[in-house]
Amino acid sequence: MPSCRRHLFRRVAFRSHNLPSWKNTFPDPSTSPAAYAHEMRIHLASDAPIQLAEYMPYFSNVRDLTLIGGKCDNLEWIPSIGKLPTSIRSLTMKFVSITNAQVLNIMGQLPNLDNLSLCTFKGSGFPDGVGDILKGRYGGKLELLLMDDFHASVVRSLLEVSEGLGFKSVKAFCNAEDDFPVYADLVSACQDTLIDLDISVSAEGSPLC
Amino acid sequence: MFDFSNHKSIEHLSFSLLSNFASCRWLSTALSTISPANSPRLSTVTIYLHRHVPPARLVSEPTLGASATKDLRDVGTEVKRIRDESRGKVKFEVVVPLPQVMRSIRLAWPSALEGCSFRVEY
Repeated sequence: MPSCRRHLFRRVAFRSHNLPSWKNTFPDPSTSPAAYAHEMRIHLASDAPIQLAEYMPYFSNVRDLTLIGGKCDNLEWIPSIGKLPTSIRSLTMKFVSITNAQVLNIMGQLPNLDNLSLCTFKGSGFPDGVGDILKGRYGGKLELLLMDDFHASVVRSLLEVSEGLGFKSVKAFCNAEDDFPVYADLVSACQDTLIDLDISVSAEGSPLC
Repeated sequence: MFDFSNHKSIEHLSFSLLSNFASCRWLSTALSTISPANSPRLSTVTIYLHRHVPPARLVSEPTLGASATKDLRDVGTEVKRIRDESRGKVKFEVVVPLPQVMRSIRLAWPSALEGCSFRVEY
């Protein structure tokens, strides 16, 4: 049975409607197959935040976390997710809009984060000095498909990470040449490690994701 | 601007011009910082033109504009330099969504993007 669970629950996806099923099937989180999950996807519906906090600590071996949602400006959904496992090495966030507090709350919990993919059409910028909050290793792949002025703020925050950046792959979308300086700094910060660089430029700010 | 002069590990570079653009001088400037001696692992440089532009729009208007075409001539100059310095080891590829785009570039400036191989992909 354990070997079956290892395969059956390697990937888990939660939505508002199927979380109750998980809770009914595995009422005791300590005996649930949560520890077998390596990839986790959470769809955060705007009308029904998922209450995962009590279950999240048991997903102790999740490597890849994907969060998908709509407008999250007015949602207090971060506390509902709870404390994230430190095993997470890859984080993907796709939102219509998101606030800096929400992004920071998630990224600040992940000391082993190597890969970051952030795709959002609208977001509020990070305040200065947040680099100290970000503890990840940032030695894998970075993908930034962002609209507004959010991207420059995110990149500036990453540049403040005290341990430095060691991304091997960077894929970034620039709205215009005005974005180049901050991305040029990012590319320079990774000059010892960068293997693959993909820069996209649009004069019209065309959406990608 | 982008500076690749100290990127010893870089292997693949990709630049995408997503929509109708007025200028791409930054591209030749970025390429001018590449030195095959300092970046010995560099093997491919891919340039995407008009990526994600609706084909219908390109059929009726496949040109890049005079300024952009002139900039691509400068890109060609850097392509030739890098190819020569790397003795052909660095491969350049230009990807366009429709053949008409490539024809319009060659008609406007035959030597633009000289030394690149071309591929049509949408």
